[in-house]
Amino acid sequence: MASVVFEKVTKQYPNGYVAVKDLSLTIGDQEFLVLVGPSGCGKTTSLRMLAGLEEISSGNLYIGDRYVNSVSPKDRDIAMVFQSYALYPHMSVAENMGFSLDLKGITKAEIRQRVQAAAEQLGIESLLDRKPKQLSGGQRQRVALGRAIVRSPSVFLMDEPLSNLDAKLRVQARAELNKLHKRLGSTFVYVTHDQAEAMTMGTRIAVMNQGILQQIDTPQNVYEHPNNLFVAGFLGSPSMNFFEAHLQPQNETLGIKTAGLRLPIPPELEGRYRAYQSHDLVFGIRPEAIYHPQYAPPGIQGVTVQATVSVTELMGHEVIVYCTLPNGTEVVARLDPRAKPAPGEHLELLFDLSRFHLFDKATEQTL
Amino acid sequence: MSPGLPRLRPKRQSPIERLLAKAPVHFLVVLIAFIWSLPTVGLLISSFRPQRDLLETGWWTVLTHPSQFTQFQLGNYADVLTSQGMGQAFINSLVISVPATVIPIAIATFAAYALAWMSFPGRQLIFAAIVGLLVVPLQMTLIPVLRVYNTLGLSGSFLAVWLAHTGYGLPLGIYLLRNYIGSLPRDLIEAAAVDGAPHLKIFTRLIVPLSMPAIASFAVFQFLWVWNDLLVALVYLGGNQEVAPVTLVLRNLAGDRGQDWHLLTAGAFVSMVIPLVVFFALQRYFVRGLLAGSVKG
Repeated sequence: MASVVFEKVTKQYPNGYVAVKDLSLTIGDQEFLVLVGPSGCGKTTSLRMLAGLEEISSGNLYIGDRYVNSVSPKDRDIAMVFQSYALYPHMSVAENMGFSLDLKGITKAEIRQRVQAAAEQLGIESLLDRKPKQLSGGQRQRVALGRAIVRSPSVFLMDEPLSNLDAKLRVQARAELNKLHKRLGSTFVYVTHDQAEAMTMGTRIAVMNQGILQQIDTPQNVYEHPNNLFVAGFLGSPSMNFFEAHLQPQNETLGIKTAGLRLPIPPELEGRYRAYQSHDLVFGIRPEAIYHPQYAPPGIQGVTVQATVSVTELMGHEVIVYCTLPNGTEVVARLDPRAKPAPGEHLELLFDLSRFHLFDKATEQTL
Repeated sequence: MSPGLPRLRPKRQSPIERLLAKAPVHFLVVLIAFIWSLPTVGLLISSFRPQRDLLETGWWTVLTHPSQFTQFQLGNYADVLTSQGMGQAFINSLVISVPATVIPIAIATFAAYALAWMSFPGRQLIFAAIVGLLVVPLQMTLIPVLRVYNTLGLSGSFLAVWLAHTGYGLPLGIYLLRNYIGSLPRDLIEAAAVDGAPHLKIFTRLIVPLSMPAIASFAVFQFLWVWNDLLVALVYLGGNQEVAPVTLVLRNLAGDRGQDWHLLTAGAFVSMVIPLVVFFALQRYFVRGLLAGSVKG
């Protein structure tokens, strides 16, 4: 069991491309940290540096108390699950799982016992004699996991291990990985581009973009209090609605003015924003903070806006509605399916004014 | 279906139409196979004919009265197998061919792994130089190498031929194997590294078993080339009958003026037995190995 510390870690390739820049990150013992971001954001490179598969250009990396910058992968006490599973095709499942133990010189009897124990945890005892090509995708994924478990490493590294599974299996595997983390009590570092995986699995999630760490916090905090425009837009599906905006005095109070909207700021928040009156801002509101007035929960402090429905996507428990405001701005709302919006229909949307975000347009930071 | 849409399924052809459509291709294939195997057939027929017939008429004359079996006899084979030095020559050929196949495979596989998966400065340059060596004709090396062998006292020994064949076989071996080993998935090698395997273990436990198709196909190439080689053996072994392989003995069998042609034909077929055994034993790898680099499953 160990913590992991990245200290101003940078990865620059010989051609000058900087994949990860000044990454400082502390992953606690027994934590399940999810590194998430779009492709090319540096999350996999960070994981590979942690695994020792990629050299660190500058900065320090610690696993536990040990400085591991130049320690080879085999001496880092880590196990990694690859996106492609990377099972050895010429070995049986049992041999795949026992390979690392065999290399350590552990006796055959103990290897068999540990492989058996890991296989039972994952429910793959019946597959031990098979070759990887005789397994389904889900089974291969378990074997890859089993290969990591038998070693009882101090840190588990996972590089998009679920991305080759079908949607249903992925949801199931997500829950199983969560259980596994609780049972093993090891440190997990998990890379994904899938925000649903990030939100559901991590004790904390670290959002990266263009090699730079954007925010690290619990899933809920990252979702509700994004640091900047990128994090706000990356997490959430459909993503947050953004409008260019200014602050303007309205009567006695302060209001937000966008091209198509005029929204009063609740008095309790006024103090926070008063200083930004001359700034170019971005106003953001999540689709679930927009309601159909008829189905809005009671006590919402909101403003109604006229809109025309252009496209609807019925999800069963909700309907995602793409609307156009009178000035042509697009807005996405997540409405109660009982509202039954139809394309072309004019409806009123209720914006919940206690749940909006304001960003500085120039710095893209949250105000 | 709307009338404007083109027909998606082509008209079903009758068996005769299909046969006619494919006939030119079939004809061409059969023709090429025929031309290709004609000399071998001639050699085979000649090997069963008596010496006098062989020197007087061409092998095709047997076809004018094919049912006359008296024109065939097994005497040539009996003569070859009992002739002086043939048994020893077979053993010599094996003693030359097996190490001259195994040594380059061993070296080339190691080199291929290093060139494909270990990072060290000058790696690409070394590989380019090795590929460059493929175009050097081996005849260029005969005299310089022989002079070195003479100085070292190696000429006329098995070691001389092993080393020479190893040198001549390595560029192709390294080239073929590097390309194959380089196309193995990176994840596998990294997974083994994370699992705790140093380079040597990755090589023995992962690379070698996974590269069997390529290794086997190179083994077949190298074995056939060494077994059939006359030039290298002739130059480095000289006239030493103690170590002479089958090819040298066969050449001597033909006689100084080619008068013993009947023995040469039979001897050639006898010498084919071992390569055929090797080829059929490794054939499934051979075919797979050639395809393996281009279409990775």
